[in-house]
Amino acid sequence: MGIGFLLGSCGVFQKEKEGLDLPLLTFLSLTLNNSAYQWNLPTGFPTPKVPVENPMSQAKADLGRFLFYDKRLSGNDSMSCSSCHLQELAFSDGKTFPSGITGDIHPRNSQQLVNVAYAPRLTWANPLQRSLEAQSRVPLFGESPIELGLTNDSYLSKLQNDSRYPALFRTAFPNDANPVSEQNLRFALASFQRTLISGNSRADQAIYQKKSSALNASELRGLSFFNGETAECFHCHGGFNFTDTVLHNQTVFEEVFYHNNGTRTKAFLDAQPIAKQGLKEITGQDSDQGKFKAPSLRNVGVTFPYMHDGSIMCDDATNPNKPSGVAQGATKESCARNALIKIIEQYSRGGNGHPNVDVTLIRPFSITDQEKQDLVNFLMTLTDEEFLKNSNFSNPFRNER
Amino acid sequence: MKNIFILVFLLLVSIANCTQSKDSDTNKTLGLGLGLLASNTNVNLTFNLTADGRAFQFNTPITVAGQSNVTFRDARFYVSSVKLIRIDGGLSDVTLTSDNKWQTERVALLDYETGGVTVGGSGASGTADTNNRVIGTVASGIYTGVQFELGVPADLNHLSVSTASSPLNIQNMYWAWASGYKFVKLEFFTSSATNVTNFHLGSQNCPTTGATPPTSGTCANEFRPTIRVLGTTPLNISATNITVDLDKWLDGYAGYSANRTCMPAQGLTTGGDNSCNSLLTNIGLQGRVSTSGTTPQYSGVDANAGKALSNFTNSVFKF
Repeated sequence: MGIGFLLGSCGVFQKEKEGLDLPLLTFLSLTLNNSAYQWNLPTGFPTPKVPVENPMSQAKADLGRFLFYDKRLSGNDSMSCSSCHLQELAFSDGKTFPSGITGDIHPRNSQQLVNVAYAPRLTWANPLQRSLEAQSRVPLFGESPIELGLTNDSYLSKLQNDSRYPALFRTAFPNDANPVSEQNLRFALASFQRTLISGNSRADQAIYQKKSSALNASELRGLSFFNGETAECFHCHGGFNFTDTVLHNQTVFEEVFYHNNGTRTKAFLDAQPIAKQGLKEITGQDSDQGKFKAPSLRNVGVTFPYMHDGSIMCDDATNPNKPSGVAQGATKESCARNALIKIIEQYSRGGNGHPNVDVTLIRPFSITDQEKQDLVNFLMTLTDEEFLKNSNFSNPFRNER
Repeated sequence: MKNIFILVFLLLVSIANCTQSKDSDTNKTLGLGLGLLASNTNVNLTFNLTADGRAFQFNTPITVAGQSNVTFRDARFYVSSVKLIRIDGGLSDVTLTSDNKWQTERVALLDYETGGVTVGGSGASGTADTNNRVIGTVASGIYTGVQFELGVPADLNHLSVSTASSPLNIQNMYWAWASGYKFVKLEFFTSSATNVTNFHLGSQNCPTTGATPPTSGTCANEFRPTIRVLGTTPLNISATNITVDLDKWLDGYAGYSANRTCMPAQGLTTGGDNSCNSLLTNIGLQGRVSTSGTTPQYSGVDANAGKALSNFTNSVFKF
């Protein structure tokens, strides 16, 4: 298929060779490169929409993987992107709030990066953050809070003088005279993050791969409860990515939603710094207080503590901020189950009350203990164990330092 | 002959006065007209930063607005929409001389920091180069003052910082979270361990839908002050000195007791309150409305914050 397309294109080139100018050729070759990129998408997944200025290539993704794990991308060589986005936790970090190189505590919980290629808006509630290419400036250079804390260009010199990077940048950006640049670094990070596609959980095997034995009876009851009109989970967590805000190459109408799910009362949020008040931070509108993007529920079994403020966590907790995220005496699974029950109970009592909730969706409903267990059992099947261990996404430096 | 000259001039002035639409349109008409009569003249504005009545010293404990031992770790700001105030009270646009370093045709960066100040565990920011000049051309005429905006114009404020021309490609002057430039970056402390004030001016509550990135000037809170500096005699525009008086800019600021994030008016982290206000009001912008002097206000940016103060007379920038 790919070869046929390439051969066909060669014919076009020869026929119109004399009429083609260099920019057009460059454009075509870029287009071809993009088409040539093999996504290896899970069954049922659409192709992600990629910004035209940064077409996908394996070389960029490979470079981006090194950069993602490289602590030289921080002001004091102490942290990398991966410090707050751990593969075994679906690239979340298990903490209530992460902190940066100077100890600044982030106002919001670290989100998982799985399937971020399909997100038309990034972060919890900043509609200005529309591309991974631009968004990475926030953790790299942001000052409030300081995350990776880069304040000058010395990181670029470090990369230029490295034994590996000059060649990696050259291969990834072959048309650039000076490929080791701040922009190319962000482009490569974006390309790597777009490869973090997860779609082989047991739920996927049942729903998309039609393996009838993939889910047991309780999990199937949970799935049906999830998609039912009692709990209304699917309204905000529907679709192949279990969120209502997605973007892919078939998207015609970009749908972007922010919701207040009733986790925090108005009185509580009024007393919080604006950075913790959701969409209101960016729009300045009171009606946007407490509104956040519905996160994808994929891998929800490892992305605790839950909610924008990490406020829903398993019991314990003698040590709730342990990097593994699991309280003493608990396993990842027992912690997730414990905390997911709390979420279900919050929703079933109709949230904690806030004037900005949609009362047709966030309102009390009755649920039996068995139904709660079924629902949790289903949610736990959204974890893609294969993804969490996929060596294509792991730390490429792990054998070096 | 002389009479015709005056007649044409008066005609042009009256046309300019009739079309009171936008300053820039007016100026183009007038500029074109005057161009026929007289050539453009070079403008050379030097912005001298002072504190305690003396030349500013970077990364050195100095006295500012009565507060001793204030060390600056950053001091930069953008200037744009530069105009000269004519003797008739009208405005003439100054076209800046693009040098791909400190100036584009519309925006200049004034830079008084030489980098290298490490605070806490964070690396040093800034660069060794400095600039205190704004250079351009204007239609010949008799001028009495200078008007400019502190900041980057709205239509340039959301450029891709990586591909824009210098000085609009300086990572340190870009506020990624808000997708716009830091118009002003003043950072100072009396003790680097306990109280660093980061005063970053920039537009907030900008459009979140529509074009990517947002292009129009409809941010609810612009935080882009217009500064007028008026003189008395005909201005020697080829060598005009403007004092930037930090004593006046920091006058009334009492935020040294803790780390302050004045970005521009809201506190994102501990210490967020209204103590940033004087830094705003001293340059003609409304701050946040406080219910008391010290109670933290977490309501975000007030509707009028960042808009022009009425009856404001600038005393920070002066001849």
